[in-house]
Amino acid sequence: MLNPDMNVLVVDDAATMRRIVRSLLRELGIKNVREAEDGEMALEDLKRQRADLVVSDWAMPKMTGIELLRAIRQDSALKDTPVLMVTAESKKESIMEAIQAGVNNYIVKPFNSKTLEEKLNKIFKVA
Amino acid sequence: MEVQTNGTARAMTELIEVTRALAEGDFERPLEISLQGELGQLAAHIETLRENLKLLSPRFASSVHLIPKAGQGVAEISQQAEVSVNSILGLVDEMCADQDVVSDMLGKAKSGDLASLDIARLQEIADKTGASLMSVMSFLSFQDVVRQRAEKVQAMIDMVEEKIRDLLAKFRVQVDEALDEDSLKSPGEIDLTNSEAVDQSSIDDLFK
Repeated sequence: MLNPDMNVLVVDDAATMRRIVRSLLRELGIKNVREAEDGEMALEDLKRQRADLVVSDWAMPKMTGIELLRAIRQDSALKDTPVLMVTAESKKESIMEAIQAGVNNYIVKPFNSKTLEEKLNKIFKVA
Repeated sequence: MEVQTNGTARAMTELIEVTRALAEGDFERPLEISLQGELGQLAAHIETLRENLKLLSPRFASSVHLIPKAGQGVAEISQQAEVSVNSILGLVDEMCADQDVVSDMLGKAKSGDLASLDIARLQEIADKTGASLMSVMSFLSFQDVVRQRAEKVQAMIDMVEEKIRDLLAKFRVQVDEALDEDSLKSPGEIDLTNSEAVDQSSIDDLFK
């Protein structure tokens, strides 16, 4: 079972998407969810307070999801933060780019709530 | 005199050839002739036209492919929306069917047939409905896909518009920004704006 006390940062420029992901996480028992509208805000937020998981979109203004991922992996304090990308970006090259940048898992929108649970279980090695 | 006449005739032939090449889309052949007077002015204008077209031609060639791409983008948006909405409708149908089962059981229980209350089945339906509602919520994420693809199509349209404006500016065609939609429409043209749509309550008022 996923740790219900984990705190999650959801990063997406679309408020509707942040709301969807927040609701789905709540259904999985995860209530400590904070939000950021773009990669830049997310990075500032993470430097103030760590997160047990970052769920990020790809295409965002100011700093994209892939740029955020790279910034997290390059920061000595943040580099081990699990990052799950939930994005409309479905090109194989983009997925490979995210894997090379160190993403923990990748979901393509639109997605099924079961897929989110599976990927989280995989990231946190829950049976 | 004869030499001059011959020279002029050769220059005229060259002028005709270059103009023909321009008409056929060949902007590479420069006009390298020397003519005096009004013919010289004509030649100079044609050479300027050729240089302008040569400059704009590759930009247009690169933007022409944007138009079918934009069209394809719109088609993909429509497909994506249809697939997601159908998935949501499928889930809603299942929930409605389960709702009928529950209503039926409760109806029978109310009239005294408590044996019809299948607790296990009710629990199963409750769990399934919860999961289905979460699936509906997650499928709604398609609207974000639609939004992002629409933004890409819009960017392509903006690029094509920019190149058209370049062409218009190059040939000094005035663009009247104040033109209204009605004056732009040709007969039979589809009106894509729904500016005259009325809401349901306004329609209901018409039937009172």
